[in-house]
Amino acid sequence: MYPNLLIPLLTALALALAGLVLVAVRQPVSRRLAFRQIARRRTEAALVIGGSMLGTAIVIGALVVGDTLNFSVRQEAYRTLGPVDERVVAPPGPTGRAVTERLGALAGDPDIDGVLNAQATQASAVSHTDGRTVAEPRVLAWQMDFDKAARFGAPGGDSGLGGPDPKPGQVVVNEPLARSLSVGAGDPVTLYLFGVPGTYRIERVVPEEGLAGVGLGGRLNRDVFLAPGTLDSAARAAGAEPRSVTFVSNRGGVESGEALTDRVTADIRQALGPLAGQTEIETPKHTVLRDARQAGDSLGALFLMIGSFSIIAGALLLVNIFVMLGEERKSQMGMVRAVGMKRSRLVGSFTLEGATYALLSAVPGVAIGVAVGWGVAVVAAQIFQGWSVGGSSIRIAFAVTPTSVLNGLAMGLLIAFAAILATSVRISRFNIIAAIRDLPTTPGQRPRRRLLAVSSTLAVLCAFAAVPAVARSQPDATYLMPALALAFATPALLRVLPRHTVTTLVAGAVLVWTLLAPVIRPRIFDTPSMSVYVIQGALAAFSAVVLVSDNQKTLLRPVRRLLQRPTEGGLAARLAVAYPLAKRFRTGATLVMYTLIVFVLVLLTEISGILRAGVDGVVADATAGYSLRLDYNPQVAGDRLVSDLRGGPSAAGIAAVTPLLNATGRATDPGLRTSTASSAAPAARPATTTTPATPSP
Amino acid sequence: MDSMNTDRALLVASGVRKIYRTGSVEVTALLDLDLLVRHGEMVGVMGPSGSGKTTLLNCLSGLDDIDGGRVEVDGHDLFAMSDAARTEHRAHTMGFVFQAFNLIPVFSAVENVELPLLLVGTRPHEARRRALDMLDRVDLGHRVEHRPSELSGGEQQRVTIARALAGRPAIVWADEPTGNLDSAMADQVMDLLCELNRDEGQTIVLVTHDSAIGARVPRLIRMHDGQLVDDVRQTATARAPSPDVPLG
Repeated sequence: MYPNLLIPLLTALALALAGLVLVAVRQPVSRRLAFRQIARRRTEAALVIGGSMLGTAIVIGALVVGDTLNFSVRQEAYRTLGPVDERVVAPPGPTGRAVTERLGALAGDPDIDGVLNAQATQASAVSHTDGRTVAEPRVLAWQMDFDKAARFGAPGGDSGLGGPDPKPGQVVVNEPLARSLSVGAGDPVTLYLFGVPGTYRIERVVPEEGLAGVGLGGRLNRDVFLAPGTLDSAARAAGAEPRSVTFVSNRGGVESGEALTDRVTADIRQALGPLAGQTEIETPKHTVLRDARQAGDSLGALFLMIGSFSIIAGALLLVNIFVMLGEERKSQMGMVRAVGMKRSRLVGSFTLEGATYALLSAVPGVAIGVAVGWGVAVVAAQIFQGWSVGGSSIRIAFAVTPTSVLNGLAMGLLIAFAAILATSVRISRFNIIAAIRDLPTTPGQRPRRRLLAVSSTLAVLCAFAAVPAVARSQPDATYLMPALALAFATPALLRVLPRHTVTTLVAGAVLVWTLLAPVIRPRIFDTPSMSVYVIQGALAAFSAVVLVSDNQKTLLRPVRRLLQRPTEGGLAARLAVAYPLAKRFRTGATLVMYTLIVFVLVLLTEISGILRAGVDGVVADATAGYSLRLDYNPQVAGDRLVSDLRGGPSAAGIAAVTPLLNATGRATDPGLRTSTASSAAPAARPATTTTPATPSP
Repeated sequence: MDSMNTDRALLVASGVRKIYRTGSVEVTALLDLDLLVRHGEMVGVMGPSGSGKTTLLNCLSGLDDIDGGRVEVDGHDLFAMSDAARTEHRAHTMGFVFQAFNLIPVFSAVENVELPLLLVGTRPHEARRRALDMLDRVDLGHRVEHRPSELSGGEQQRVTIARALAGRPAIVWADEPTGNLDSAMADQVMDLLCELNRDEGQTIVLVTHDSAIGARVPRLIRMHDGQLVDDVRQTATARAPSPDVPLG
């Protein structure tokens, strides 16, 4: 997924690695300090590797989920289209024959490597297996030249259909139809072509691939291929005509040919001339592949959004572990600073150590990420299978691309490097004497002038940027810019107000803005981007925790009596809160991790609730209050079905039976673009593909 | 300070002030303190707890910031430098011995000793040779590959002294160097420091609360409430090493 991100991410990773190599080469003491710690502190190493692995695994897992969905939808192209890039459907009769003739000229087009003409009609089929009758009302009956079909598409490619033509009285069926009718090669089958039954013997069953899975827009096509002339004879006998369908294969393979879609479509229009307005020109390959990309990107982005909180929690775990490492090594660090190690080298040493852990975690992180993606694919496959209507659901097939693995690896490593670098800078800023003597950190000094100037400038810039962002309801910036302006204003506020007051004011203001922004600017959610949710969640979690952390004493006031009881229990409770209160940063980071986990659980519950609440509405819209839909062929069932339903033994439980007729219409706009639509109307008597339904009481 | 004779002066401190702030409470740890230490001197700093001894060492070595005054070491004003420049200056001119040893636990004795040499850019081979020499000098030539956890308290402090001296610093700061040692080991360490001062002219400023240790230094400064209240030079007889404790 995201091939456009590959180069920037790999470039950033290469730069980061180059920086680390430079530190390792130019600072031998930092290198020795870093590597010696790794070799001798195995438990700590395992913890950091675990935290780092989490980030890489989640990112790769999310991208693999996207790959899987993308691949699964793309398989539709192979299954139901194969080499078919464009499909031209002409109305029955002379127009259809004229269209077929004109399209014959496309055979010499350098962008096209195959033109195949076929005739098709909707049919139904019945089989008698093991003493029971099985009916399939939705069958596509095809008549095409098997020899030409075998040669259709790129030379050497597999069109999906080949072998000898079926002999008169014989048919070739594809696997979905064979499954539906429970038949195999050699079995008889009754086909209703233009309402007239005829019995045929199945010559062979072919896999649903390429032309053998082809249809007129459906996801699952139950195809029967007739002997040459069979469809024409049946049509003549019934006084009807089959539709003319011309398949066009663009130069190249199943996927690569898609790039020529626009050019070939223009060529087809040119070849059709005035008949273009009466003909349906479809680009199914282009549509399927575009849907695949969109579906993959959407689900991957959703998974990545939910995973982002876990990534933040993983980064905080890294920060926490490094802060603990820093505290444990405080006196050593103080000493190395005293004997002459510059702060930058200490940062280098810590970063080198952390980066080595991150690199060691990369391989298991990739493996776990792919495994997570596989797990999601397995679960998703079961869910999609549950949604299947007559086997027409998307078949989820696990897939992973090198692009996703590299993207995930680079993202995971860069996140870990950034967390480690930021933490290293923080823990390297200590008072040497306090560190050597292992004294508690003294309250921070007033911010230095340079920091004050830079942060105040950034606060003003962010405030200026916030105004148009909020006015235009820009999703990410509406949240971020005011929050950043407040955060950057902190050093200036510290000059005039006590630290506690400033922290409480800034965190409180950010939290209030995070909660109020969607009320004041509701349009910020009018975006397909998931990043706004990540920013909103992260800001809410961080600001709330800072607020709680900075007001711990106030919040604990109601339980103070309990804590001060001179009992064993009181002492235990006092000890329990003493450490979290004393180590405010670590406690805060741990709280943010828990907050994010709870946030994700609540978010998922909410999404699930919203979907569940929407289901009833969707069902009502789709069914108009009816409980069952029966598709049937009136040539098989006649009018008896409707009267049986109305007057049969179940009639007392049936409120209404409404026979419907449906048909496909076609519209052409002034730009000669055609589109199809399905329409239904109450029928006086059921006809082919009618859909009577029984409403629920 | 203008009246001070600054010939061969290594450290010149004038008007040094240090204030600790905790919330709204301010505690003055050093109050307009003047001090001059010449090359080759061994100066002891004594005083009751809270008198500012350790703060004096921290501020004069540049490990801690000051709130007023000026400190020059080897001709350089410490607090006019950036943090990085001060760190580099410290690496070239100062050595430190602290009460808690503060050795790097994942490094061997020799690696701990060569650490400050490598930090100032000494070639690894040369740094290793000088570290081994220093460990020999403190009688730890047989323990060079041992890690701190495998050494006794006295041995660890001798590694610390070797580390402080390895870079041939102009001045060694020692903050309660015998505080964590029993009396026999404390005598060994003091004998070593005195010998280094006497034989090699190593300048040492040593903070202690132990009057027995204080009695062994040639120049003893007493502090009270952040001010120098006494500065005396002691006779050699009062500073004789313990006869029954071998050196090293």
